[in-house]
Amino acid sequence: MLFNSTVFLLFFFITLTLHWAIRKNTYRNLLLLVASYIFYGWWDYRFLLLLFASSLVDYLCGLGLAKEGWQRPRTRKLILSVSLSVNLGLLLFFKYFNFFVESSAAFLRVLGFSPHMPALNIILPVGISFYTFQTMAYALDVYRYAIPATKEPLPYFLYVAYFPQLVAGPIERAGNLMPQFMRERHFDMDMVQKGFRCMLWGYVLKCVVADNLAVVVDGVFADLARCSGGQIVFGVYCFAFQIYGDFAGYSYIAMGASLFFGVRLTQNFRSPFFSESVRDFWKRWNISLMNWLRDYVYIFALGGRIKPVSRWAGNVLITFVASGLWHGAQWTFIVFGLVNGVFYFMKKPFRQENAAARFLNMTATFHLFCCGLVFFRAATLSDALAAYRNVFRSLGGASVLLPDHAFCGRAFFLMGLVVFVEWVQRKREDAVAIERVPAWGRFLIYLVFLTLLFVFGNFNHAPFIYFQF
Amino acid sequence: MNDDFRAYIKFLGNAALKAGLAIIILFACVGIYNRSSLFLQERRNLKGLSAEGGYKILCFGDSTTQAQWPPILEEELNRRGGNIRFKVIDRGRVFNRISRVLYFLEGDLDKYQPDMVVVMMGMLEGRWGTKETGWGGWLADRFDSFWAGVRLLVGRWGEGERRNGERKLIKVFEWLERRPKEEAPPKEAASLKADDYIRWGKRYRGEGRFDKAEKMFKQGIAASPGDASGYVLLGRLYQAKDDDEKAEELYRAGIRAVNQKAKAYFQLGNLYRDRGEYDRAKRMYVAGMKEAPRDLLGGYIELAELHRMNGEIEEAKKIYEKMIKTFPENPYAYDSLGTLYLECQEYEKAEEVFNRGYLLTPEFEQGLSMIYFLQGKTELAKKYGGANYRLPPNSLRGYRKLRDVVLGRGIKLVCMQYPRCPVADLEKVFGKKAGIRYVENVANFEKALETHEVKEIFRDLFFGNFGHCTDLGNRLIAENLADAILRGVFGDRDSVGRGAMLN
Repeated sequence: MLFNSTVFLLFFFITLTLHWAIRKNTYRNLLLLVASYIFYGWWDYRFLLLLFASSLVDYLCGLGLAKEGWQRPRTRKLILSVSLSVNLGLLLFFKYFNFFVESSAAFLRVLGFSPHMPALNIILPVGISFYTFQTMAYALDVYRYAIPATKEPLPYFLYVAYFPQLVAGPIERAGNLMPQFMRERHFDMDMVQKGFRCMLWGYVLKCVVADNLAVVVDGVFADLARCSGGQIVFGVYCFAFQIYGDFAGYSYIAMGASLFFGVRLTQNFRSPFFSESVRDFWKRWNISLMNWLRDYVYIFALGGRIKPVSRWAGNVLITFVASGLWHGAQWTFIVFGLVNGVFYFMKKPFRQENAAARFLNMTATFHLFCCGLVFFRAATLSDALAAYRNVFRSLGGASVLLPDHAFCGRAFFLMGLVVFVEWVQRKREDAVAIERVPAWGRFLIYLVFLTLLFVFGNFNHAPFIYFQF
Repeated sequence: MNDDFRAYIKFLGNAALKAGLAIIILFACVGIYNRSSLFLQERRNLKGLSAEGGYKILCFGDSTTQAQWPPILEEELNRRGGNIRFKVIDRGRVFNRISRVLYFLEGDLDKYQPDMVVVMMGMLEGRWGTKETGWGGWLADRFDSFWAGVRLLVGRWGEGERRNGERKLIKVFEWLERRPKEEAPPKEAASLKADDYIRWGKRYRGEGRFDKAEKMFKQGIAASPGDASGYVLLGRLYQAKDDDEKAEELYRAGIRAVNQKAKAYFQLGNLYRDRGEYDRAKRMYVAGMKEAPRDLLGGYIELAELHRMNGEIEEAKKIYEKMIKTFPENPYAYDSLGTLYLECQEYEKAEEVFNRGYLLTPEFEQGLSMIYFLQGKTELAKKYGGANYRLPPNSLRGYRKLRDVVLGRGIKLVCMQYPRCPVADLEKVFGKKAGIRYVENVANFEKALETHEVKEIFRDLFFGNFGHCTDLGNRLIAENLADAILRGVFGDRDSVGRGAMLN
């Protein structure tokens, strides 16, 4: 069930009405759990078992980690390793099996062998990277004594399967979400208004910005070798905004939908294009994933910022490669992670505290991010390298016909719209924080964005990019 | 009901209210924008119109015309036209369709008294246009449906117009661009002619003011009791209100009248047919056809259909054959008989009849296509299945009506094709008639595109390989048309210059 489909809106309305019609919190949670399983099962009901199994394993591991007699470090480590192996095993099997098989075969071929490796026709379950990370986070947090293990299964299972964030994040922590499910929730008009704003902005980002820019991006990346440098640069700019619109759009819709139920989700993006350094950028982009990797990979597994510097650098690079690999089993994603890891060590080019320096820093950061994105979007590494070659060869002389200039003009307008809104709201909590605007002004803003949605919105039900990760 | 649910319901009510307000504001904004742009356009049109001795050209079109090439055309004609003073009246309109043009056509022709009418439109007709034109057509459609919905809710649909989808569009434009109100008709029956009462009655009926329409038709009958038209119209009004008895009574009165009796027979036949009294219906159709054999095409079709439904195929064939003899120029006659042959699997006869219809009017090609398809001649089926310009039938009739009205008034009609589109499609719509001239915009645009980029000529590619023009593109159209007008109308008709006036 896609957020940008009519069936979701209907499903959402029914669930919401039933949710508030029910008096007791436990039953409300039960309803949300059933709704979440319906939401997931809508795509493919067979994988509901997987979702349930992943949840169950970590629920039991959590109980084991908290059990009084099992507090010896070795026992706890053993329990944790069960949780990690099951979750990583699922990920490895569904997401990385073919990649490893193919890569090993290629490696053996280089060595002169001719291996016959099996390749399985595996369907990647939607959102597996998100919910396995969530269940692992729970086990790791219990292991680290960051949160107590829960004995109540309902809030825990709901935490894993909660439908607004189930298939494309944000990757929530049990410490944030479960207490919200456990306490009594009340219909709060402020939260609902904020939820509406989040959803509206999310739909604008997805249906207006991302889906319209996709036309240009697809045109450029379909034939990178024949594109001129100028077209590639334009295509990559568009892709930066497309992926932002797509992913941040999903996160905003998720946040908004959840607020209608009285549950706050973590903010996943905080105006990343206004970051003045690469380090700052990764604190604002896909925040929930980067925090997850920081807490559990960079600090917990690798030890964080340790001496000597070479080990620290290694830790950073490993973390970024992991972030790249999380997106998918492709060399392009690994290089994407690696490139960003290298950029991470770069400091701000301009140290002055004035507007011009800030602007130049932001521009530089954005362009560094775009450099990595070429690998992210290109189908193969050689495509990405061809794109770089063409950019430096010539900026003009295109042989690929982009959509007409009016459409490209629209692309500029849409990118400008995102920059404008985020710039105006940059000092506020998020892009939709307009509580101080008088009611008529808010109404006017809604009107403008609704018009944008209806006039430019693409309702062809294009799936969200992050569903595949 | 718990407090949370109460608050939730309150929120829903509030949200619905605001959403309603938002929709009203949005449509009001569109309305204001439309009204103001039309107001400005009208001011420009009226400027200098009263000066005598000018040659007036009235241009109909869509957004590719409104404030696009007409001003350049005027400038160009006046620059090159010597002593003749040209006035170009721009009646282009965003999202324009033929139904709207027709609604205002007579009024426009009276008001501007043009010497020539130029038409460049057609891309926004029907669903086909909507698909091709993306959000513009989408918006027009939504707008259209919205007002149709409102009118449906307040129950102001015209009698018998439910079936006619185009009418709802007229309503939208009627609301957007109301003409100055005509004087109300006088109340005394003697002071107005019967035709005027009928006209007023039809008008009220179209506006959904049935009571007034009824009154007007009654006064029309009183003014001319010997004419069946009033009885028929009033009867149809009652029939729409499900008062069949009164309708029947009126049709019978119509049959007793002196003029237009065939209409009454036909309507009474329809009434009986709807009731399932087929024999009585048949008798009525036959009587109507006897009364006015050359006037009642519908009677032949309905009668033949009744026979066909009863399995009396030979009878039906005979009627259709008679229909072809009576109306040899009407393609529907051939289409109907061909379809019947097709049903009977008499492919050779069907092909012959369809072919005769096709030669008469090429857009009646679907029958041929079907025949070839059924016989497995795929290539031929494709040829006839996709060769013609696909205007919805209603729009096609609309353009023909425009042609007939304009030519009927002795005004020259120039049918201009959109840039880069073949004029042959247009010829299929308007046909080859004296007084019509065709202008093509292919050679000039293709030549310009050799030296200019697409974006220098088009602002967008709204319709596929062309769209709204830039100044340069509009100049290409205007110069081409000016050339065609000056050479084709005022100069040597045989010479074909840059602007190819295809006669």
